[in-house]
Amino acid sequence: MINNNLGLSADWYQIVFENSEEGIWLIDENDSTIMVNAKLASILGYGPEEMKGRPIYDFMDPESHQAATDSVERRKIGVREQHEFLLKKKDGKLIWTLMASSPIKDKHGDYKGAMAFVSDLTKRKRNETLLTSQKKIFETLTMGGTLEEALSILIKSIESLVDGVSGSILLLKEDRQSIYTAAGPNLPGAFNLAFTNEKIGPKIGSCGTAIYRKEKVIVDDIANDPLWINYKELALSHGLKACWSNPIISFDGIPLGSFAMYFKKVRQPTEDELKLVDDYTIAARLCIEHIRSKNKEKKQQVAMKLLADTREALAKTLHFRDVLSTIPDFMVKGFCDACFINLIDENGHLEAMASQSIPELNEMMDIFKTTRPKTDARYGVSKAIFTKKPVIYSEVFQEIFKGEAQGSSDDVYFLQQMKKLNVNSYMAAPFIVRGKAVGGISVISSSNNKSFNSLDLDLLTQIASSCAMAIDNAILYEEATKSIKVRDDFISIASHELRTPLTSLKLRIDLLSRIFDKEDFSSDLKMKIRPIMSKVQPDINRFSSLIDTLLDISRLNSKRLHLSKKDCDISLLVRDEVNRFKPEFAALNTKLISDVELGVIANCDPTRLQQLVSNLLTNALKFGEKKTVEISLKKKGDSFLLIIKDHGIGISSEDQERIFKPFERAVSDKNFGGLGLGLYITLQIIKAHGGKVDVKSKIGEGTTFTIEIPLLSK
Amino acid sequence: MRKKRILIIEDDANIREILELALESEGYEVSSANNGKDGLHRISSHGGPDLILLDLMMPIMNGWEFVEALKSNKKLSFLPVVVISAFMEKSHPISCKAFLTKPLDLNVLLKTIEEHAL
Repeated sequence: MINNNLGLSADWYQIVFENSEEGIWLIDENDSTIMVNAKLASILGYGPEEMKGRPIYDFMDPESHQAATDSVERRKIGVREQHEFLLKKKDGKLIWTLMASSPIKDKHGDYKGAMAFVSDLTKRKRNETLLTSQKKIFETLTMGGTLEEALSILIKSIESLVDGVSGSILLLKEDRQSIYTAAGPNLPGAFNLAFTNEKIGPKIGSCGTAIYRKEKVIVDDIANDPLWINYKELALSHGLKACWSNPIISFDGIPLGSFAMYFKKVRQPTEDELKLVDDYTIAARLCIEHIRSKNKEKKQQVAMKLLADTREALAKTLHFRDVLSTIPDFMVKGFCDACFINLIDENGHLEAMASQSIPELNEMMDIFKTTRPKTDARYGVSKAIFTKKPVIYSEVFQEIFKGEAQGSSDDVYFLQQMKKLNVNSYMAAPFIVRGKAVGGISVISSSNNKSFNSLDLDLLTQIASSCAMAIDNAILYEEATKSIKVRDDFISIASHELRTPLTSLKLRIDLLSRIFDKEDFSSDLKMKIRPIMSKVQPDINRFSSLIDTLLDISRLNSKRLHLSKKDCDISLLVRDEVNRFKPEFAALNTKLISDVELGVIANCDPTRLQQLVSNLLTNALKFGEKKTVEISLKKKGDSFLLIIKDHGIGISSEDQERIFKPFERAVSDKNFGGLGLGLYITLQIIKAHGGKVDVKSKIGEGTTFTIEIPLLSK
Repeated sequence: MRKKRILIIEDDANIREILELALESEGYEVSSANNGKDGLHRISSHGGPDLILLDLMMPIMNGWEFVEALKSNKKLSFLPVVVISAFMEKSHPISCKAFLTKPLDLNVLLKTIEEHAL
């Protein structure tokens, strides 16, 4: 029948024809089948002889007839082409094929028929369907669709590929025990609901068992399978007779749920179908993992922001009550539906300090606000405070059953109240300050698809510990402020009290020397007594100035250095001070040279300025090693410069930084007395006047202090 | 010439005693009071002095209250007051002829009294 043009035997052509992996179809010029090979017959479900002699239109839907006629017409004009074509199988099902068709002409070039190589496109079409659905899922998720919506797309896609199937995807909850139906768009709602909150196990239908075993479970006859013993009534009542289920396992081996195919007849899967379910299971896994990682990322971002916000707010001020009351505002922005802060008051009662909720819960909040939690109650935030441990009721209505079973009446009472208020999930964490619980924070979720988990509890615990730290800081600050005030008051009173006996002592000495001067004592006696008397006065002055210093320090620490400024003649002030110091310098054989520009007027506190000059001259005398001390005053722009220069022991560069701090001095206190406060006070006076100081010093060569103070300070 | 009269209002007995001694030796007629209220009492019973030496921090009636009471009485408001105090706070001003801080310098004190006494 086949011409032996190539010199091969006709048998060889026959062998090639029959063994081809592609279907081969020969038709005559009247569109009737001359012959098909075994492959094509099997693709379409016929015996090879059954197709012979029948028009091609017998193997397609009427809708395709026109396309077929057009195709044949193209053959007639000599076109060879490759095209996709929908054929009909013997059982009536349609099948996508790829045809490579060419015309057959006789030696005169007349059209005699056509030949087509036909391959089954089912697999490719399936892959395309899956790809299309994955694209659709991606679009849905991009538009903010839920996991349930995405999985429904996948189910509908597989339902379009397999006849009579209803797909279902169950997901495992956080507890990795209970399941719920995430997608089952063509299964009865009551059936889907029946599996919600069931626990996986060795005999929980196809799906609960597949997840439990982490392996494929094929039940071709639900009515007679032991795995369905507890559910067959339910399944059969909805007409479901077979169920094949694949576990969905995450990349790192954790079961996520199941992908199941239900049929209304007893049915075994074909190999192709098993492969198809495997492919769709992987698609479901990718979808779940994608959403979960997205959600986790989003949740982590919310959590990080929440933690950062609360910490920032708590660090802002030491008035912890103000700050704590803002925490619930942060919490309801994405973390929970309502948040409460409770503190234990002086009487040991639980005081509702602050609360916030999403607007939808306003009504519920009113009930909460008027319900005062009992401190001694062992539930909710009270329990957290009492046990000093966080409390979580991940799913309130489930916990009610659990609580009833365990006979914990307090918990159950609380949970029933929560249930009445439509609370789905509840957590509380205590504020623990130095081992003592002083209050707590509690949050609720009212939406059914949000339950708090252990990660949420960790976050709440961290927030609670930030709150506790803020409370602790505030308490510490309060204590510190109190003790500083006590110290300052003490110094204030002490210096007043010290001054009183000093006053009478000094007056007595003054009176004594007055009498001594007036009365007619022998000059011999005067010679003996006068040097002693003359030393009493400086002693009293020193004592008095130590008391002043003490008082100054207490003022500086409490930032009470008030200046009483007026316009004063600085030139006069410096000259007076130099004159006052002259005897002291003379007594120590030290030369004091002054160079004072006249008429320097500045807006200053004269008493403080006098103190400044006095402190610096005292230092110069003390550390000047009896070498000449120079003091100069001159105007410089809008400021005046006061320079005091000695040629004494000098200050090392590292000490130059320390000397302006309180109780510091550059030399050991064995050689030089004093409190080490002089330069500290001096610096405070300069700062209060808006001025600055510069120190230039070298060991063994002396020190120069240059003070610059604005003539008109603000 | 009559002796000038000085009223010392001071709660510390030691300071009162030495001030009395010192001022009497300078030829003043001196009387003393423990606190502001006592001082007002003395003025109303013995008549106004030529000068009042006034401490500030005193029990019962302090220096500020005393000055306020003095100034509110037209018959007494002209009496010169010299404050002697260990209390240097400038945030609590007081109306007076002079303000001397303790410990006092006797020479300065005598000069101030001489200057301001009626």
